[in-house]
Amino acid sequence: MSFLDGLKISSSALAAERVRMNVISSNLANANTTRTEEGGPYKRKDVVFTARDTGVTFDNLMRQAFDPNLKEVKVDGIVEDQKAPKMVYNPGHPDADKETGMVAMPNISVMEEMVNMITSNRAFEANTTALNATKQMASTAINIGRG
Amino acid sequence: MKITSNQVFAKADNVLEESLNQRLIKQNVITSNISNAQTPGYRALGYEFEEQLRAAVGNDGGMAIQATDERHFKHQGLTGNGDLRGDLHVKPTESIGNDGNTVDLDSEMADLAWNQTLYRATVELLNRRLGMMRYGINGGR
Amino acid sequence: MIRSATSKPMDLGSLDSDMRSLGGLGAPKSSTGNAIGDDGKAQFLDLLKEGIADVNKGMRESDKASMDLATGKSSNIHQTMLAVTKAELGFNMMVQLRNKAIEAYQDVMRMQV
Repeated sequence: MSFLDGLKISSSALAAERVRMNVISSNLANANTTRTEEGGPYKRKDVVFTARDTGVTFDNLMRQAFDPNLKEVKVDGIVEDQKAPKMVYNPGHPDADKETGMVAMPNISVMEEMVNMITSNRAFEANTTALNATKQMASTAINIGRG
Repeated sequence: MKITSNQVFAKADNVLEESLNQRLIKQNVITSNISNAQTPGYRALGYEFEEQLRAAVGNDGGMAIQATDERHFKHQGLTGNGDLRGDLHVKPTESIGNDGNTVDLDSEMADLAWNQTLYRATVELLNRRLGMMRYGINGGR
Repeated sequence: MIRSATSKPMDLGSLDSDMRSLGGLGAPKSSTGNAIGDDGKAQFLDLLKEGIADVNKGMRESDKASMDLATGKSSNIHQTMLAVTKAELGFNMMVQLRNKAIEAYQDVMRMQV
């Protein structure tokens, strides 16, 4: 068990939150995009986090029946939200359907994305604090016996 | 660090040093929780070692346990060679988030801050003791 | 007479014996074991003994307070720091007293009679 393990765990979370922020930004930026290369409106994207064993195990002393290990965060992938696009009545829109006048808008709720963004921000700050705490403990340890 | 050994430095120093080791482990456990606060299905882990450390020391501050050979006995909380085993467990929780995540971020942040504070306090106490030894060795000059 | 910190770092036992030998210096012993007719000296010895006992007590309290804090039995950081600092100052004072007493002894020994 060392300070480095804690730092690695924290930094994995920081990296994961950065990915999530990017995805959220992409969603917000494309909240009104009706045309994409694949055809159809922009599909909302989401990240999938998993907890991955760091490989940091407690040594033999700690091994218990179900042997929990410390886990860091890994982004398993970015998936597209399969919800159907929002249909909005807007006959004047260039992409409106000729007969019904409905436009297929991306299935993005700005409120939801904002909430996710705040959550992601909070998690990012929490992990930064944790990283600083570990770093400061290491600094304190360096000063043992000084003076 | 062997709590049961008799060395140049006093028992309190052994206890303080071992508590530093344990606090580092606890720090990493808390960090793991914070890092996985958004991960679906993650169960928060808790780590307690204080009771085991107190038991190994004894209530009067002296050594409750002395052994000349590690095969002579095992004490609860101590493994055979005198290293301390803390209690790593899944934290019991009543509320589980929608995605199966049980991390209470605010509680973990509080634990983090307190653990870090105690780490610094213990280092400071160790420094004082070492300083006194140094002072005595130098004859106060 | 200079002891080094070996088996027990705060070896007040050695301080104690230093003080005792200084206390009996230069005066013939009466039957009660105290220096003859000089109450000042006997008081000095007692004071020293008390002082050492106090420092000892302070050390034990500081040890206990440190271990209580480190094991989570108490969460009172400022109390612990105060106890530790008092013990440290008491110890430092004792060391200085011993040094001064030894200096005084050496001064006396240097006197031409």
